Amino acid sequence: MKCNKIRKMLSLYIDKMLDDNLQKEVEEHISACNLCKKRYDDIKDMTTLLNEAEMVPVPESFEFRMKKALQQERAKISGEKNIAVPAKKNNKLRMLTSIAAIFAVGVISFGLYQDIIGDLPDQLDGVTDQLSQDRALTDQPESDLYKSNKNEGDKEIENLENSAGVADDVPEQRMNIYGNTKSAEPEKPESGIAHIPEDDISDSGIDEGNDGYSEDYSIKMKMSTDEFSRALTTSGVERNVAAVQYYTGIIEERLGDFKYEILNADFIQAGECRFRIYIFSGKGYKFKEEILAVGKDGEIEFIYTNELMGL
Amino acid sequence: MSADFIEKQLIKKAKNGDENSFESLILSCQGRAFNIALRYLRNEEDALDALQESFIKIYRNLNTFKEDSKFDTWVYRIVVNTCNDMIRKNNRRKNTDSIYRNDGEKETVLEIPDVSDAPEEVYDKKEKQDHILSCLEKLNPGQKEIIILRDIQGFTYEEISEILECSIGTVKSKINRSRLKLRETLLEQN
Repeated sequence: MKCNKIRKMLSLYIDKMLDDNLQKEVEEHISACNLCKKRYDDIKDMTTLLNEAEMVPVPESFEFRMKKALQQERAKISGEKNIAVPAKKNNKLRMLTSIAAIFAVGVISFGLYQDIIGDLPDQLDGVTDQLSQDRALTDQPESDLYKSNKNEGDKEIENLENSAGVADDVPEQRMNIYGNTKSAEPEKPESGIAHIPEDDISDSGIDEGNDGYSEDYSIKMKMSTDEFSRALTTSGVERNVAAVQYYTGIIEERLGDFKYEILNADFIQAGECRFRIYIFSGKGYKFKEEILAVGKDGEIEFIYTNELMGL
Repeated sequence: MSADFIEKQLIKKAKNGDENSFESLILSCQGRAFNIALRYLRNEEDALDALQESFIKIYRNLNTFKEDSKFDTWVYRIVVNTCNDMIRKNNRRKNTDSIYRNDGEKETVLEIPDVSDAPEEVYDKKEKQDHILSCLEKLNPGQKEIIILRDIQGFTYEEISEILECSIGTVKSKINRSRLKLRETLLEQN
């Protein structure tokens, strides 16, 4: 056997891990080969010395240290177990709290928005000034008027109508512009305006024209300012509220001499807003005419109107 | 009653949360585990840290011990892995508490009382051991590891294959190569 092969088996020979035959073969080679004998002796001495290296005793303090560490570990494990159960509850609680928080934010936002919208038309249209004037002219307590201004729905309209009714010389057209029949003296019926029976409204050309609308944000009739704006808001058309307010202001300016009612506002596309408007005349505010106002690029164009209306 | 049977009973009790049984189990292999860590880390404080960390790991994972191997072999495997992790994470060496002491360029083994031999022989033997151990540090981690397990701790080939989770053939070749390398290093140093 060559030295190179013996070299590879030296450790196994020292540890008696070879078969008897190989063990004997290596033994014979070593006794005959000085180089391999030297190598074997070196490794044998080396391993013997290492094996005789003294074992270092574990410091006595380690026992106390280990007991303490195990105690802490047990506490940690039991703590984790204790925490693990309420952790699930906490997750549920957290979820419920989140839902409650979202709901609360929604309610508060809606409330704030309602307040803002409730005040906006007054601020925009200068009604506040008029109310001040009304207050000066009427004997009604200031608090009532103030309350009526902040109230929603019909109550608000009633108060406004009352105040407007007393103050004859105050322009009343800015008081209620969103689909509320004015309470002032009915306009004199315009001659030549054909009477259209109420039954025929659904068959009017305006309805047919609405069929092609891509989006329909129809607003129900007889809405207060708040309701009108709120309806638009809840329909996801907040961005159109400002446009409606702007165009209804123009409509008011143009139809100030008429008794009218805005039925609905439709948004065909961005920047274009259509209003269906009823014009009333005579005692009992009898339906007289339906017109369509189209607001676009900041201008209002009336269509389907009687020429005599002069619009 | 055999030692294996007693060990199995202790493991069973320890798995069921019996603290005394667990402490008995780790006490049986604590000395050897500490010396393995000491040879790996060459620092008593680090060795004790490794030992504590290993025992905590064992305590936490006792239920995963499948009893395919001997309990102490499993313990030593965890100690070896913990030491290797510590070496990887932190290569610093605290020489003040080391069992080795830097004396200039030369490292010497701390004095360990030995009354079995005559003083001259003891000194000679210690000097030689010191020289070999300092050369051991010049080997790569794998070679050093196998020398610690085989030649210092005296584990069998089978035990080493379990501790290092490798085949017997790998252990055989690694032991032979590592010893030859250590010898070369010793000759170079001389």
